[in-house]
Amino acid sequence: MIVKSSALFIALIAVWARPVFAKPDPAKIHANFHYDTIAVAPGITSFVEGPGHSMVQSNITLIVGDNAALVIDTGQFPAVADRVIADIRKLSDKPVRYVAITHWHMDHYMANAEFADAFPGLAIITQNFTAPMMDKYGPRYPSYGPKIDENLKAAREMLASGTTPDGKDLAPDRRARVEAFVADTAANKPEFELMRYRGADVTFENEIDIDLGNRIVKLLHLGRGNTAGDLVAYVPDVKVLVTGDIVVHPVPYSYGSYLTEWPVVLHKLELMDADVIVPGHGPVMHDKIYIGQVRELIEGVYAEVKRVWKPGMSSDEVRRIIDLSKQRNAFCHHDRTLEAGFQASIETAGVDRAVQELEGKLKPEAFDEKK
Amino acid sequence: MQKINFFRAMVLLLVCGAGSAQAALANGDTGGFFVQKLADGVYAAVRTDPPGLMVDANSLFIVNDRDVVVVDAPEASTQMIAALRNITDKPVSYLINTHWHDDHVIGNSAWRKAYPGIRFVAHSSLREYMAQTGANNRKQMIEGAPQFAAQMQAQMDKGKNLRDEPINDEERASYTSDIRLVKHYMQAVPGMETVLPDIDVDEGMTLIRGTRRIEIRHLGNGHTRADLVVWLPNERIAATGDLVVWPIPLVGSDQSHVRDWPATLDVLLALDPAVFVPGHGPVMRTPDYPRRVRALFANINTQVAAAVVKPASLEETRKAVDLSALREQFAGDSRVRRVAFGMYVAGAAVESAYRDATAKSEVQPGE
Repeated sequence: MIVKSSALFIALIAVWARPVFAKPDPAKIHANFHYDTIAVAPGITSFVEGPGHSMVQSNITLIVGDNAALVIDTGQFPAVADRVIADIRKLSDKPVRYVAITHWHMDHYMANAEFADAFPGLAIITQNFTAPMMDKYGPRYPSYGPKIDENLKAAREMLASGTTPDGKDLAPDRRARVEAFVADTAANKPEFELMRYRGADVTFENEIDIDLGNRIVKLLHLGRGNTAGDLVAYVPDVKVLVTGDIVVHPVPYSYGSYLTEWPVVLHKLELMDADVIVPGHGPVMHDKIYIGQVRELIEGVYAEVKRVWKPGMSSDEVRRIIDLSKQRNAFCHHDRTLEAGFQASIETAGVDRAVQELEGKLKPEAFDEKK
Repeated sequence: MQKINFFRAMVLLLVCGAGSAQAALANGDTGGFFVQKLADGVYAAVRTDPPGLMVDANSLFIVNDRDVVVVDAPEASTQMIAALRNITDKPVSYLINTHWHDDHVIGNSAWRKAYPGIRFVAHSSLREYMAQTGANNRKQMIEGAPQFAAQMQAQMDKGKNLRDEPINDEERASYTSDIRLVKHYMQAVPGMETVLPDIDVDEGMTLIRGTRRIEIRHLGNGHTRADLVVWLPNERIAATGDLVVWPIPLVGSDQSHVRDWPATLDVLLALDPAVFVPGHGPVMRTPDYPRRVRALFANINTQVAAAVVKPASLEETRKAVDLSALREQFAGDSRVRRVAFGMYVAGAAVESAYRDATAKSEVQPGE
């Protein structure tokens, strides 16, 4: 029930989520949202979201040069962004003159306005595809806040009745997980009230290079992958690569993605001279092993769907026949939380996209608010 | 021989640019341009110099809701900044250098001083050019320009043109302008700080300003391989840089790409601009002149390609190429324009086309 009613950016895993904290402090907006501050390379710092939140937000990366700084993604929570901005001011006195948004999913840019207010005159940069998608969905997104209660209705009913949707008694351990999920999700609500949409003002197709002063940042679009407008940032002098959601750990996101083209992009990343990789979500990496694993996963999912699919066959029919247990186990190692995420992202959304590709009818990317 | 060397040097002079903002201000000069409104918030700063061997560039101001975007940083930038401040007190946030020649970039430092938040955008090849060829050219210009100006002055004093013929009014006006621009150049440029781009592009980028879109695009090679066009699709205004120069196209034998130029202009013309702001020359409201430039280069490419089918030297190729009708079309009876046509078209453009036609295995005729 909850899995079906959850939105794209609510981690659908919530029912299985481990209790991370007992109760949020309502006096402090979202103070319980945890991120780690990671020194990635000289002048480069990533703010890496902590695990277990019911609503995710992207990693945020600061790249400082001699004259100016650039930030990759701003996350979706304004109150969290204010904390990140305070951290940035402690780390550097260089103005943030550029923000680059890796793609149009809202957990990567709904805090743009916080950065624009803090650093007047900054440029917000995206790939050409991304800017109009942000304009389409970003302004509507704050109205999602009140729907949080709606989405929590089933979980709250479960707690009230002591019964699961399939009529079984709610076991004490599961009750604790549901309670934590409800508390964490409800804590996101005030953030939606703070959100003010701010779109891109600079766009490009394949590449622009930004000179921050003795430091070049290459902003690249390497092809369609997680979305049609994926942007990666590469800093040659320290060989740092910031990937956006082309690479997400521990379970890749595959909502509206391009399964035959994504592995090509991942292969390009594998060929890049990078010592440090900052994914869209998940920990900073120091080798490309995981990128290769994601590529094999996407290739494997598409190959498996292609193996069984016949013209006229629906995604649901495909799902009944395919066997993705090898991939599931490789990424989830029997962790039920991860398996729920894998089911939503890969087995549901990813398989849908594979079938659409095989049908030759890829649907336009969209944020389905009803889902 | 003497003349050929002289003309080669003058080609260098021209592509290096001219004129000093500070000197012009000191002289009470308004900068040698006027501001022409093209659309709401869009203004061209158009040079008034007569055609000659020395030039300074046009500029374009795009005034948006909260900021201003400027195209090119000529040597009269200080006066252009003053002119812009008469229009608006909004800050300039971007300046696009349409290519790497000094008359389009030398004012960058003045703009940065006036607007510290400014970002410079240029083609990615500019960075390397400025450090190497650009620095050499500027050095040669600084060494050679005063001598050429002195030579012009001496000829004028004798009542002669540079070919030792009796000088006419058109030539006198042209030389006077050239000498003034050289003087300005010498007062401003030596020691001038080179400001490199903040944003390097290969294909381009788009600035979104409310409903206005400002597209910065590399449409292909032409005047240089760094050519950028600034295109306002809503207003249908194109700032072409030196892809379009009036009255005689501006070609550098070793920097321009005459072979590619027609195709690049085809892309520009396919945008169907209502207004062309050329790098030099008046604002144009029809595509006639850009089309003529396109036809000129296509003609040269066709003739050069035909000439090199059987191996031919550059000199043999020059003899085989007949540009008399085109010279008539572009220069008419004007001595100044005929000299410029001889240098840039018969001289540099044919050489550029010859170089590309013989260097590559696949010879691409102009059409």
